[in-house]
Amino acid sequence: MRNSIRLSLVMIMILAGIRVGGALADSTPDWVKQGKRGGSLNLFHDSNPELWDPHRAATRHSAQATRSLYNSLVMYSPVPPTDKIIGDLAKSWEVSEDGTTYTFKLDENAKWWDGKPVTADDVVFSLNRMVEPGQPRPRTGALKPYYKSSQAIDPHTVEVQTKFPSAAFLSFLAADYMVIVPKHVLEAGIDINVPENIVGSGPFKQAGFQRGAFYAFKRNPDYWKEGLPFLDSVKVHVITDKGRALTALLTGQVLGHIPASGSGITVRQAAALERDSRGWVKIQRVFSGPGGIFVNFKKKPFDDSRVRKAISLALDRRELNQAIYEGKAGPGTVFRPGSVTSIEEASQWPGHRYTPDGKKDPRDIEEAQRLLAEAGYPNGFEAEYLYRNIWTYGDEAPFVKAQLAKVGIKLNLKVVESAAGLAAYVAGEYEIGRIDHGITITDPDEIFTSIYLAGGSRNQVGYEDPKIREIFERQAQESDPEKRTAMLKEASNLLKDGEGHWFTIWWFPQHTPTNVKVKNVYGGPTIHVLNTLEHLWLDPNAKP
Amino acid sequence: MGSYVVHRLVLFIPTLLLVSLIVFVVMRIMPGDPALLILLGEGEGTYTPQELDNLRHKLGTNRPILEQYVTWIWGVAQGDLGRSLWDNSPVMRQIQDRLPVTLQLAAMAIVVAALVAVPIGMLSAVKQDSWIDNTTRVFTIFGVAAPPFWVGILTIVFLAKVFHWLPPLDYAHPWVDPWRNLQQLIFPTLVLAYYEMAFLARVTRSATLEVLREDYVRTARAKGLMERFVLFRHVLANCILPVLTVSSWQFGRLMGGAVLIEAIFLVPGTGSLLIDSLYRRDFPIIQALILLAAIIVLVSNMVVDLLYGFIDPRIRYSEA
Repeated sequence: MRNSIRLSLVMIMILAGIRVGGALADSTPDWVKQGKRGGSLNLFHDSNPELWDPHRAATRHSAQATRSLYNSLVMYSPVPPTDKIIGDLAKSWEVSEDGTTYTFKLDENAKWWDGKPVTADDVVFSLNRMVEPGQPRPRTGALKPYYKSSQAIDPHTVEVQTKFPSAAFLSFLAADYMVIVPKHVLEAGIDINVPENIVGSGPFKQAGFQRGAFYAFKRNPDYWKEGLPFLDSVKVHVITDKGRALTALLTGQVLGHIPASGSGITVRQAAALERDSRGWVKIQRVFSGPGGIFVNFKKKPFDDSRVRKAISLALDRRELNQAIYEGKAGPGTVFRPGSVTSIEEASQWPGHRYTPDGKKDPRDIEEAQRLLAEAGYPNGFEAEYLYRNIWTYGDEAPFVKAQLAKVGIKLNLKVVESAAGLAAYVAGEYEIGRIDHGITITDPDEIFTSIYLAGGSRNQVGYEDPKIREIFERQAQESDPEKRTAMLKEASNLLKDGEGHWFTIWWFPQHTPTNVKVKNVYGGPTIHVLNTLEHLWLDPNAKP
Repeated sequence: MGSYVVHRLVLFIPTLLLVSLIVFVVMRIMPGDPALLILLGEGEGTYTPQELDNLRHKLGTNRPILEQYVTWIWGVAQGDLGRSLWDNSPVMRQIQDRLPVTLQLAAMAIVVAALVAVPIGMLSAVKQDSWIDNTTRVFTIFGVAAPPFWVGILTIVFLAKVFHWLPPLDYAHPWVDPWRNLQQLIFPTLVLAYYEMAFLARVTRSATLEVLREDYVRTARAKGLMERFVLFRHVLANCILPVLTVSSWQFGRLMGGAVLIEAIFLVPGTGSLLIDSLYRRDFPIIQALILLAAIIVLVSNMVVDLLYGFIDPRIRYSEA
């Protein structure tokens, strides 16, 4: 029974795009043996780490800066298959028969920079801190629906109880925000949001930070993982100007963006970079998450599901994809493309389908017009399309305007500064908005809780379909992968019609450029995992 | 003179108070709540209303605006510029690290600009409507019209494509490694100087043309004075005042206007700090930087006013 439950959870994780390795092999992995020690690596980062307390962090920028300073219980494999979960501090773990108790065995060699051992008490303290009520936990708070409690069984054994058997739990634990922090330092009242105060257990120590300019790491000579890290030091330059970043890559001033993912460079820039560098710079591409257009269902006429559906039908997703990503974005499926719905299947959905000659299916426009007329808007209506002055939003807006104009919806484009736009979205001061959502983990739970359930980060206005809530709760606890897939398909079929507040237009790509001299750079399954630098090494003799 | 300086310094106080009040109020009324941004990140973070309230309370942004202002300005008066809302670092330390870099860049740019602008502006005026004048005018009009960030990007691309070289990434203080410092700052200096020079050269040209038509210039020439004496002793001395005025204004503007150039050339100055703080609504840093910029503008204006007296003997500041 114990094995069958575990097998089921494994199967579910495979569904979510995750593989599980229950224990690390005793012998040193081949990729560690192959790596070469030494060297200083110059990287760039397209933004600034805002916060240094990983549990308070809300963005990948902070995770990318802090992940190499700490360890988590489990992590994604740094080498292919990178969707496999392996131990970090945990050298092994077991799941109880009912799937609600995880017993983690910690590596006895793990120690903090101050020489104290990393113990089960640190893990319990950290897990409780990640879900601490009333405290800002924008990312680690994702554990709240799952985490129940944890206890130290002995100094190197932790038992963690979940509220229900969940495949998503281990994936969330492997995200880069869920690192273990030193209990003795925090209890002494030391603020770990101040870089100089950090006491980690990770492969690198902090070696300088200047906001908006750089942050640096030096090798932890006493790192407890044998043979790691390879590099002596890493300096990460904050380069927000894309032109400057590209030239720095081309001239070899920097050898890549801080792994695992991101950089903000576009499809065209990525292609030009590969071409102009004559193969010295390689690009990793990851589908970062769903991008959506969303409406404020509390305002007329968006309170009418027929109007919402008409908008979804009228959108020409392929045209947007071609214009912005040269067709390289994933299709606008509800869940990760190919995971629940095949790409072929999704291409037949209303609002996503095209004629053989590549034109938008006229049936969708006709249906959209019919729905608008039925809702009392035969001549359409005017609405405000609010977007922020960042990323690709400005480039897309004229296309969206032209597309909706075909069914009579006249959009007034309003561009605002990023912080002001986010504030407007949260306050519900918009009619139609636009945002890309970078998923933390690949498990479908993340899509439900962020977008389709009230209170999610992309659903602050609080739209919720009771049927979706019911399916979410059922599938989250379902241990049979086939049954779970069926449930997810059920949700997908409800959501694809666009009757809710959010219409997925694509799964947007993120590009990570890296010089061929940097080894062991593999794109993680999302941009919020695998941001550690411990596995990277430099091969000065590498050639394109 | 001494009492004049004291008088000017005293007048700084109400000006700075007004600036501080305006920037404080503007930051509070513009959309974008720092607590919300900390929790939201790029919009993906989650929070409860209770967590948002707690964070606002911790940051002090939920207190009455007047109370916040009084607390902050009282701290400023005592030399405490506050702490970053994000990483709790002292604002003074952040500025201490960055201000010398921007000051150096602005000073180098204005010196280079003035050294080029004054001769070519005067030459252009003296050789009015000649090919020299026309060439100079095209050169300066292009400089005024071309946005510095665009020229900056072109410069970077040119250096990378042609020389496969870029200014070093790591900033070195001039007293630690002057050569490296020069390598890093020379190109942003030239880009900034080009724009400022173009404007200054046009001002110099106009001022020179005006002075050249004055009676005393005609008299100087009529009495047989050599042309270079006419130009340097009479024309330059009289046309330099408006140039000086514009330079001081340009210097003040450079302190806050080099933001994009700093980003393109990766100069770790106050510009990049300001832009980052604006995105994050890090009020204490923004307030401190703007207040500082105001002080620099006031001081540079005062210095120029004092210089007037030395350059033009007709101008003297009374003790009264």
